[in-house]
Amino acid sequence: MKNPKGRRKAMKIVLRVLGSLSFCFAASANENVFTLAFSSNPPFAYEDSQTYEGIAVKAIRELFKRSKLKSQFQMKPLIRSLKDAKYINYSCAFPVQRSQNIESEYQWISPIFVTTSSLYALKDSKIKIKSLIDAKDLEVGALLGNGDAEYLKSFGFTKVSEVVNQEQNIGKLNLKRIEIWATDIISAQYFTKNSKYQKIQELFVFRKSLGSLACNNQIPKVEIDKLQKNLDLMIQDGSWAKLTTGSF
Amino acid sequence: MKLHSFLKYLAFIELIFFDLHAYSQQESENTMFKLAKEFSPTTLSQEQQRAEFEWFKNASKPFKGKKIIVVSELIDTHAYESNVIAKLFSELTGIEVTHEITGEDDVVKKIEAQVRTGIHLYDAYISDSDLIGWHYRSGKIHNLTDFMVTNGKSVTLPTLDIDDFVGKSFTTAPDGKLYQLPDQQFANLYWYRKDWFDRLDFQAKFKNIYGYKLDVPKNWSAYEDIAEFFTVHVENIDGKKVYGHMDYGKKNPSLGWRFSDAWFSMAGAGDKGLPGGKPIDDWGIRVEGCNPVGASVERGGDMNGAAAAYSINKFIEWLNKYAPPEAKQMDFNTSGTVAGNGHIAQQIFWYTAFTAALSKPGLPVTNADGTPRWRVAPSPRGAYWKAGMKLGYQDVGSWTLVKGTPTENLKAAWLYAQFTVSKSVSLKKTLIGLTPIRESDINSKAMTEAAPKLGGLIEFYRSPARKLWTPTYTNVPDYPHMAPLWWKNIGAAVRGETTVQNALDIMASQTDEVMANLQAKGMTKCPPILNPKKPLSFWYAKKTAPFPKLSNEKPKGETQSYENSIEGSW
Repeated sequence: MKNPKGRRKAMKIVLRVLGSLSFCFAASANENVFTLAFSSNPPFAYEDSQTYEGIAVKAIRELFKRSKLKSQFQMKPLIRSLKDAKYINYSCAFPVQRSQNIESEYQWISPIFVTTSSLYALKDSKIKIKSLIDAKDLEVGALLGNGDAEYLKSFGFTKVSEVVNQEQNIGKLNLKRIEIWATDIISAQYFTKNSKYQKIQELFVFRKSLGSLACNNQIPKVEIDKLQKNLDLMIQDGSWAKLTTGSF
Repeated sequence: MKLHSFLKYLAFIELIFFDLHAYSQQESENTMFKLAKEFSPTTLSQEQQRAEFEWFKNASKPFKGKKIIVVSELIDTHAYESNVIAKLFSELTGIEVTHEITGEDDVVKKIEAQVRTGIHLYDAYISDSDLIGWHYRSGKIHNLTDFMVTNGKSVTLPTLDIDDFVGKSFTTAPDGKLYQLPDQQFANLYWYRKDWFDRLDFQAKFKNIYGYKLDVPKNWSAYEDIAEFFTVHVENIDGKKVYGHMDYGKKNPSLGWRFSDAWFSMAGAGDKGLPGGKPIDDWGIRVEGCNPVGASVERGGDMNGAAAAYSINKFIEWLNKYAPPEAKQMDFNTSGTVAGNGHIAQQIFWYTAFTAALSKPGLPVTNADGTPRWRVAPSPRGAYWKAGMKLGYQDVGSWTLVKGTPTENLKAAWLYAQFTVSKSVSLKKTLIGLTPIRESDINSKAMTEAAPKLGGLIEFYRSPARKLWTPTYTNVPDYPHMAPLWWKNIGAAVRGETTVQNALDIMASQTDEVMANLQAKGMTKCPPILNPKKPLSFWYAKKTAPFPKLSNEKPKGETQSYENSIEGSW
């Protein structure tokens, strides 16, 4: 170009373009996106009209927003979610019941919510349970891969039948194909609220669990600590309780 | 006529009332009978036991119908509480109890979450007294000394008899207050096959190879020689492969307490002093006054000192050379009863919580008459150990009440807690789970009768030497956040991902970091006040731990007879 002014103008444009490009590269190099995987488990996490909803989803969405960390939700089978969280960096699975057996396999942010698990029977059932061992020989329905099923089996329960969704458990209970249903209080309320089936009664509370976010061990500790700190702040300011109290 | 009808009506009501009352009385008598039958034997007379049951019934009246939930770890004693004691308590009092049992690390995580967040999870915990340092510093745990004479006065059993608890000193903080009430205790002792050790052919062969008698090892050198002897030189007994050592190495929270349960002090790390070394305890944390001042040797601690490194090196060496290969993938729960399969000659680190499981008739380790072929004996000491140090670990699972628990729930839970450890219940519970907590139970006729089938457990608890087996004590200011550092770091060394010294250096540094954070945030009592880093020569000059590396970490092996080991050490 023979025109010096034109040359300068062109140079400015080139420099601006190069600057923007380098900024984009820098930004994408530093910004890791957490993949937050869950299996459909209403009312905790589920898909509704192409959006993800649920008590745990709401709490985690707020948590990441406060922590200013990028994330994307993905719905996939539970076993796959846990496997990805174990082996792929910046992957997490939820809600996972934190337990000693898997403590070392992940970094944890906890509690995303707390569940109380009970044994339920039909309203007209005559079953009486005063301790967990009383239920050992009963036919129990539970959710596949759920911590409740594993807990009961670890105490010698041999008649635990696991299904992929809670509607099946309700149906089986009403058809008397199972005698009791092992689940948490929130799920029990959610699935029986508008159900066509008979009402149920709570027979015995048997444990509590900390529903948690299980994250890959390679994620820098500073980010895990940030998430935990912000979760603690949400609990302190009352927003956690509002998000995790189920109302259906 | 109207009066006549009214009188008939009145008589009818009186009859119903009388019947109901009589029925209720009969029900109450049935319950009392059931309790007396289940909780027999007891050190109390029948009248005294009945009086305690009546006290619980009356004290619980305001809480009838209340539901409470408590949590403990999974051992036989707590299974008995959950399945039997809780039900009978409910029947007596009308308080409905869920006694959840779960992994020990789960209990720690849950009490930490409740204390940190204030979320009401459980009404009471059976938390190890290892957490006493955190409990009394956090300000979030009720001190029972004050509770029992103030808010808890109306629900505190007059015959609780705190002085009868042998673990009382472990749950009492430096401020002199009782923070936890012991529910069960078990020690970590040396376990061995006395029948194999007594065989003349093995005696001759061992003497020929090692130059001294095959017997209860006094030191780690002898333990190592015996481990090698059975794994390498004996190899098979009655056609079965045998091993001279058993342990566990799975990457799991329980790997942490494999070491933090006094393994360092068994090796000889830290200082003399009971229940914990002074100024440095078995975690390697130095305390000045009541303030933790450092874990790393640069700050005057001993967590990454020579004795600690020796202890981990020996753990790894023995696990790899002398234990069954599958031991590397086992944890606390899966490894505890392996010795009962009949192929293990000795185990240096064996929790007596598994005594009941290894005393069952018909096992390869039990004689036809029910007596064990094995014994428990004092733990052999490592090369750095000196007289005056603690010799091993004792677990004291203890009732712990978290502040912020709704008052009515707290009181109901306190009633249940006391019931589980009352003299009415404790002896039967001890005979089931073999985790004694009361002096009166330990010295009872029932325990004397049980002793021959328990391999030396009762003799241990009756001896003054049991005071040398102590829990983690008050030097550790935040057990829940410090405990994971053990399995994460030492686990890496066990798997060969790093050297032992590097693992310990990182662990000590991270522990100091946790303490620095506590110092910055503050604690209600005795917070950490970290020492500045100084050269090792500065700390060596003080003539307390940390001590330099020994030129010979394998002195000659020494053994003693089982009888001497009992008389000498306990």
